[in-house]
Amino acid sequence: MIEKRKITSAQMAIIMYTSITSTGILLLPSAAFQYAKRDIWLALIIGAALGLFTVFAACRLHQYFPKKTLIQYSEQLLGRFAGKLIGFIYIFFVIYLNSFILREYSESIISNFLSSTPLFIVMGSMVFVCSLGVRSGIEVLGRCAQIFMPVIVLLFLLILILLIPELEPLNILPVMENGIIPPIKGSLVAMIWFGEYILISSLLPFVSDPNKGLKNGMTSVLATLSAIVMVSLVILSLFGQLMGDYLFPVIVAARYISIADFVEHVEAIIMAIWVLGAFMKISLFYYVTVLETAQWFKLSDYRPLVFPLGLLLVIFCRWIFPNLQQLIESVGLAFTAFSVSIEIGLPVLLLISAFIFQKLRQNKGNQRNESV
Amino acid sequence: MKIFRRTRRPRSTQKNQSVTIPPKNLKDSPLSKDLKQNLQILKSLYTDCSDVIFHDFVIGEKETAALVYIDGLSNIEEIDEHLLEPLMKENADAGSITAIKDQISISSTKKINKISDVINEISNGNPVILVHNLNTGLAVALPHWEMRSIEDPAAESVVRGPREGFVETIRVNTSLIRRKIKSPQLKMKSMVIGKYTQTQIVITYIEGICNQRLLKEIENRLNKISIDGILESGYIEEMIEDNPYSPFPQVLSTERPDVVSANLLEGRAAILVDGSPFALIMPISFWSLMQSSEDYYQGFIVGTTIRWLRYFFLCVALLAPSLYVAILTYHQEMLPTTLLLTIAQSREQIPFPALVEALLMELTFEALREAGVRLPKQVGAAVSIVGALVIGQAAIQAGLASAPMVMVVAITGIASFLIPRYSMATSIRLLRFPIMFLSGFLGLTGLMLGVITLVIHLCSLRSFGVPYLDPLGPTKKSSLKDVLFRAPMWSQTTRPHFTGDDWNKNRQAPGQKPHLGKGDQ
Repeated sequence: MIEKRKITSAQMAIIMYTSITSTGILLLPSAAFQYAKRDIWLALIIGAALGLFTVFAACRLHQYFPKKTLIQYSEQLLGRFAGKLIGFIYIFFVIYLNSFILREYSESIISNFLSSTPLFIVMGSMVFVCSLGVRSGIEVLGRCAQIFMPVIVLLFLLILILLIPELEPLNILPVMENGIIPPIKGSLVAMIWFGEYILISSLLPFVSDPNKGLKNGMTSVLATLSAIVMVSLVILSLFGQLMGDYLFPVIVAARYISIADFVEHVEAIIMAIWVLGAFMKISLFYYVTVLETAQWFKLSDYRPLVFPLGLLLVIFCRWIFPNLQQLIESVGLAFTAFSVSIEIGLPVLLLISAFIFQKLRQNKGNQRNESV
Repeated sequence: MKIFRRTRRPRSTQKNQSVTIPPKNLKDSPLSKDLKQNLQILKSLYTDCSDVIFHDFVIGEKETAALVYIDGLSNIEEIDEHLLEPLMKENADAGSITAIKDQISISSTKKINKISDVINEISNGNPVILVHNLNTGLAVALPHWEMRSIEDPAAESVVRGPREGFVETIRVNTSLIRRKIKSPQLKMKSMVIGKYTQTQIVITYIEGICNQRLLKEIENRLNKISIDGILESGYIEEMIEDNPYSPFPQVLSTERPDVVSANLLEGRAAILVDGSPFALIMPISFWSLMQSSEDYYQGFIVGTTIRWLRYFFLCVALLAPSLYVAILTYHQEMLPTTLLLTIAQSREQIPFPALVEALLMELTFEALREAGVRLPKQVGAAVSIVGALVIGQAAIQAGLASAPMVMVVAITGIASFLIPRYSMATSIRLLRFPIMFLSGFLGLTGLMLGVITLVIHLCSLRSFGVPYLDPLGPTKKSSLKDVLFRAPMWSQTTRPHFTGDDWNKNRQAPGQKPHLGKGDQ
């Protein structure tokens, strides 16, 4: 086995929760607001359906092919050539998504906190730290997530509680002003985040109690959903229609907090959450990239790939998004289309082919039984 | 010529070694019936050893015999009174070792029949009697040497709790533990490490609570050690750590018998080393380094509060200067305006950036602290006066440091004294500096990255196979009660769980919460 250590399914759920929530609360509200407007919470709920489906698909596929990752069973299912192709698309998708996250992280840090630090330094330092985590293996990432999750959750609840005096709950109304179409459009954006649950197909082989994977995975999706919905509602009732004007509305919201002229400018807390969350998410995607690449090439160890792929990740950021404007624009169109089609297409394709594969195998077994 | 020299050198060194080290066969040879021969061998081994005494005497006016001991390690008065006196009587019997044993009034004796055993026994303070015509000797337990009395351990003092600490003599230390845990299930396995020092090591554990796999692992690691000498348990600690490159201590060293006993009762094992008052406890976690024995002697509410105070000041000790640097360099807006103005005003005269200022002051503080530990006590007062001047009013007046920086350094210093284990406090002191650099370069982001790197390291660290951050990461709910809180005595019904499936789970009977029940009244 390429990874010797194991994690529990609860750890897997926590890894997914911390990584998806922390970027989700920062970026998703404003991105989904462009389409869904006030019905953003509805869009999120629809989007979460994809998360539930993805977890279900990943767990079912893992039942068919225990102890195997997506790369391994796609080759077994679809034959060598098509399997390798699917694997390549999957790896490329993960790197692409990761470079998107890394770029978002770096841009937000630079625009909000370190205005004159070079982009490369911010990205490089983060990727280096992540590579240390990835080299230590999935077990260490699982433990890090367990330690960071309470910190992230507590700090975030603190921010939300401090914001309560500023809220204007009526901003949420009216519900479905323009019918059901805007929330559905918005849900496509939400699906980028929830579809990321496809990554558990690469983690499930290293889970010590895979039979609990489905339950914990679903819980993780629902926890993520509730966290993001809560944040969206808070931001919506704080800003109303203005919400769409901000790239990182949560950071702006944190600036609203002022209690007794002392608790002010707590956006540093947001930044702390953001760095922790970004670390978890980039490490997770980075780990999956490295692991799956090693399996794609049928290597016996993934560690030698960590630093080269980290370099590639940093370069990818430059290649794919030359500047922030293009990055923001791509969220609206190409990026969403690409990500969501893979996040939906890949599990559906694999699930159907696995189903057929299973039927064929059963038929063969039956025929054999009959002939005997 | 050069080639010749190269080939020659190793040979000559080998020869030299063979001269200094007595040949093995001589040491291992059995005692012969000829007393003279035995004494000759021993005397040749102990050439130029003025402290080894060979005393010839005659048993019962018949048989020649010799008493061998090392001056200062054995009790001479008792030798005279209980050993020589009965044996030198007229009718004393020298027919066999058993006969000799029966005549002397000493409780603990041991028959030996090898030269190496003689060496061992006299080195441990047990005089040996060798008799002509007998190829067995008799070692008599009369050890007695000067030792420090049992005192309150200075580095781990408590307000409430036992005031005894280990000393340099291993037998005293084992007795201190045995006095606390009287069950025969308290085991003390003995072994010897060190080619020259022949230091006695005792592995102590409680059978039935301590995991057998852990014990085997400890023994394996100890057996691998091949070293000239063990002068302090620190030697052993460094040789058996899981990750030798980690700045964190992976073994707990303590001077307190009550700490050792408490850990033994939780299923850990301890190593005692002769000549060192520090016992090593393993496996440990990060949290055991943050706990003081007094947490358990006070009420649980106080214990919990103090524990959290300690966690908070751990963060302060690690991060306070970095936070100061990061905020002053990159995030001035985080401070309330009036505070920012005050700080800006006090920094007006300072020629350095915040990072340099912080490094300067922290380094000075560390230097003063180290000097304070090493200097003789008579000069110690001078250091504290100079220190107060260097990090204090004079530094501010000289325009080298700002008043807030001095405060930060002072708070950091105090905070690091809150960490109950010195070894842990040292590593925190050390790690402060890289994080300071990071926050000087990348602000709060750098600080967070430093913390994340630290957490990654801690998550991958193990102490004898037990995850270092256990029970927080990986999370074990049942053990959290002794980390996030100090659970009340009556609710600590289970022991912490380290490795393996077989562990003695129950510590005490459940439901012992004191209350005035209806029936009791």
